[in-house]
Amino acid sequence: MSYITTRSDTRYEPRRRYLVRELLDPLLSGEHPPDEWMRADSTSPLIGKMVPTLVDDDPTPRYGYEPARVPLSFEWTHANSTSPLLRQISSTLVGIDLIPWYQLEPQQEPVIATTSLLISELAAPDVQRRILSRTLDALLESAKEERFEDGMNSNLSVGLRVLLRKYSTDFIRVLEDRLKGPKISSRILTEVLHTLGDIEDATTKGWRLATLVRFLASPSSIVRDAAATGLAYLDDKTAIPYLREAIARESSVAFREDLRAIVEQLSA
Amino acid sequence: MPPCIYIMPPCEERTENQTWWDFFVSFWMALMARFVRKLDYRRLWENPRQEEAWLDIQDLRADALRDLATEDNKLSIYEVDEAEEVSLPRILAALAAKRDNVAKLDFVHFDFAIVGELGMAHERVPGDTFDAAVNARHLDLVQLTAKRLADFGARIRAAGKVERYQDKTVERLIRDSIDRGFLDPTRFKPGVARRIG
Repeated sequence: MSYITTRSDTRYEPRRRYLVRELLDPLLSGEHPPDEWMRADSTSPLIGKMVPTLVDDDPTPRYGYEPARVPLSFEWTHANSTSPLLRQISSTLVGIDLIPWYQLEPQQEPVIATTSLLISELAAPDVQRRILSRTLDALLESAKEERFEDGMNSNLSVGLRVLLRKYSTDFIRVLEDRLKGPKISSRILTEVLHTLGDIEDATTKGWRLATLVRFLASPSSIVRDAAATGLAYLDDKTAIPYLREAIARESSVAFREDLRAIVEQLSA
Repeated sequence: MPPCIYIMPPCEERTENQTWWDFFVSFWMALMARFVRKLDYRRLWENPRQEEAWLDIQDLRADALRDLATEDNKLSIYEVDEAEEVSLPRILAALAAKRDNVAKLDFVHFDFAIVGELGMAHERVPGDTFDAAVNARHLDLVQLTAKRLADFGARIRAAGKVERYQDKTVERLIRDSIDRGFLDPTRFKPGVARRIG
């Protein structure tokens, strides 16, 4: 949950207070944006810099000010606004662009929108990486409550696609660390590996192939299966030798059958 | 053994010059009616592995129950009816076509006799795929308890056939159903529509 509040840094306090009380609070209460916000030239570098400093996940009142809650619908309402300023605030608050082709039902808002994290273009690289890492953690945490089905989008799969598309190399580093880190359940890892194979993005393809190949050697048959399926989705013939090695190692007859089917599919 | 009810082909479907052999085949097919259930985790339905000494060959891994998720204590299955051209590939194409994306498809097909032997109640209710004939072959197993579901899972694992179609095979199945007029591609979701083209 995101909250907008002011901070103790008195140098910027008056401007923050103005921004929050005069501009953002009314907007968050559902008031119609002021006419001047709807102008095509209404983008503001000041707001681009200021808004990230106002948002966190702490609901407690501070400095005599009750934080305003950023409703989940805020991004959806304003992300496609005709006002560049509202779009700027919206994307700064959440840090992602909407994917125009992906039509989500309102109740399926990606979990990214529920985190209090900001991925500002102006943030320092280490801050950005920390934020990406926390966003990924939030996605994986939320995935524990999700049900995954083959061929069906999930919060996790959509979130990963968005982050990989927008933050590419930066997000890869974060995801790489996470995949080597504390154990992710085989069920969630299956969804991650399937998604890595299914993404269409040339920039990250090499890394995704290498990651899927690495998981072909997992001690868990579920994870090995997910990696092999991810390689089938990736549709890259360079995976064939690795799949053949996996066939040689595999003790399950049925699994060897599936691996051979993938090799046949990739060879065609 | 509890009484079993089998689905007999209606009399009007029999050919004019039906022989005793035709009757026997019809009766045998009814006894051996096959059904299919979509799965997501084929690996969980395999025989016990070396490291799984705790798993009996007649039993089912608990995680496999994910593939038997019920709604209102009901479980969805589809009947294969070759006589009515509702083949296994056609059913699978219909199930795959209603998803968000084209992906691999795991499934188990089994003899309906298992349902009878376990005394499981069932209802014929229309399915929700984009293929009307497939929808007419949908069945809900109803009044399911945890024990019945687990017993059912263990039985179909042991006696059924668990298979997988890779994503490109699924794509071919969908295209085949489109070409035969069973599926209308204008109803597909964007992810499937993009892949089928």
